[in-house]
Amino acid sequence: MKELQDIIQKCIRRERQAQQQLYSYTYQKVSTAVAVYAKDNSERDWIFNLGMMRVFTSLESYKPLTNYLGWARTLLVRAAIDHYRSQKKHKDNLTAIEVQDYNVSSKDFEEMMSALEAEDIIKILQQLPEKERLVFSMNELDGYTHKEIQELAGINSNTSKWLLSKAKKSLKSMIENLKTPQRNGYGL
Amino acid sequence: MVMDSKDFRSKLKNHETPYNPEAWSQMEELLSTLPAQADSTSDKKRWMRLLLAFLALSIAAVLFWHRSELVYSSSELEVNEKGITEKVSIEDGTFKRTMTQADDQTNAEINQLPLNKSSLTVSADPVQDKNSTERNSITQKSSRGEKFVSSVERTNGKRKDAAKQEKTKRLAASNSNNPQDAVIKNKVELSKRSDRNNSSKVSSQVESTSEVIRREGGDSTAQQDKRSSSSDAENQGSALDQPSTNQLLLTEVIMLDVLRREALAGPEREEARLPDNFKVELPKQRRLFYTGSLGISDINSNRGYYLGAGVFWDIDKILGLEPQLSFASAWDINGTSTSFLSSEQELELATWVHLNLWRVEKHKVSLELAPSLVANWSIAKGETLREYRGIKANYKAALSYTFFMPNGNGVGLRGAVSRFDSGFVAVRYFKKF
Repeated sequence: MKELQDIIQKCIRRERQAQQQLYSYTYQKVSTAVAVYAKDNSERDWIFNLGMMRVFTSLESYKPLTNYLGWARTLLVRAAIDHYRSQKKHKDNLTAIEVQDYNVSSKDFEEMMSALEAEDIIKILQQLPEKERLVFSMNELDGYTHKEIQELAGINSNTSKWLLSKAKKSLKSMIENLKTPQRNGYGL
Repeated sequence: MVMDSKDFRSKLKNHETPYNPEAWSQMEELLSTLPAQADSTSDKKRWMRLLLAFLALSIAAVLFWHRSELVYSSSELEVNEKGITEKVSIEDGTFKRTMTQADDQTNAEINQLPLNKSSLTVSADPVQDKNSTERNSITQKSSRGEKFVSSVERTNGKRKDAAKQEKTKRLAASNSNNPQDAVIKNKVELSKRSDRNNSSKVSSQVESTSEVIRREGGDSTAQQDKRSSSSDAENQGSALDQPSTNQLLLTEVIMLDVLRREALAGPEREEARLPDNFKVELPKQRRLFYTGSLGISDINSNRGYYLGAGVFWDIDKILGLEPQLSFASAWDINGTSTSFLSSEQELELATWVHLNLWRVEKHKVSLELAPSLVANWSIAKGETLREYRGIKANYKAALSYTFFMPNGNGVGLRGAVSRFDSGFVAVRYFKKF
């Protein structure tokens, strides 16, 4: 912890080596939180770098001995949300996938979930449409309420509830399809 | 079927992504666009300096007040002491030393020695503070005692030489009723006691000389005394040029008494200075209270509640001691901290030292400092992060006001800040033990 504090102090002084150390540490620990907001790893890195710019420029306001990763994660997630908002100005191609009832038992779903690795789940999430992915990540993974989603992402709370429902159904179908890859072919 | 998001969270919770150097190279390009860092003192350091200055001023004020109290006590003592006078006089052939206290009109005759009439009366103030006592003794030594002191020193120096003569005289005196011989006998006794310590020696001199005076019985033996004194002129006679033996002896008694007082050390001296019935009563307030606190906490800019319980020992008007266990919990309502850093908790064991800036019967305003041990942790809302930051040493400073009710219990308000960006404002209740 003390070492981290030293690195942060050096980063405040703009020491490049310390910045790289902090970047590497944060990347390993928190980039997953950004990945679930991105459509692929390239966008993940871009959003992560935007977020890290905020981290580096806000280090003076970071309270020593507090949860650095939590604090950094906040900024990174905010960067992802802001990135969504900036992209939204140019395109709004909401294409919700058609939800089908595959009548797969919950036992199958649980079996599939237990078999999936974190990277598999990230890939599945990245297959979701942008808005569904955003709402699902914000609400289910980061704990934002629909009201907060409305404030931060500019998505009406009723819409976000509907998008969340759709995202869950989509995910369910995607995961269940993994058992019958010939029907969907995610190839995970 | 209901899909549980916990499955996703648990899968992603501890997932780590391997470091990507390409991403860092992009990052470096972005960082190179940043402007140079402004060299300015952070607000935090400024606040710390202000806090330190405030603490230093407060401690100085407390020390100054404490010192003023001591001065007040001393002056009070002095007032009492100045009411006491000592009078040494000769009335009807008796040497009298009288202690008089102005308030209660009580006279205590301490020493009474039979003497011939003399006009010499000495009034002294023996119960003065240390400095004035020293000044007094120096003055008396320089005016009257110097010769006598030197004579005593000479006596000590020549005592060995005179030992044989004195031994012979003592043998003669033991077989004689002559007052002159009695004087010689006493002088020999005096020389025998010379090996004792200064105080007892001088005291013995007073007693033995008084005995001599008593035995001589008056003016009729003055010439004899003068003659007998001539044998040990180095002792006293040559040093004192007064023609009257009574005056000479009286002066000797007074000087010896002065010397005796100077020779007394430590508790004996204190006893000599203060009469038996003289007491200095210092106020002692030793009270214990249970304390309870309830208030608003701020941990790393997150606001929540604060609870505390402890025991307060009201040592005196200046100091108090309060071991206290406290718990604070705060949740995010500030600008940057958001939902997953949803709450922070702090458990702290502190020992508060109260430095009273103002303390009267019912009111207490104090600066309070506390070294403490604090355990701090945060809980993420989505259970994606939970970090325990261990036990650390902390320092706290507080300003508080307490009102003590007629039943002895008290209520108060305390505002505190700590080294690690936490603070609280709490209402406090003091329940008497």
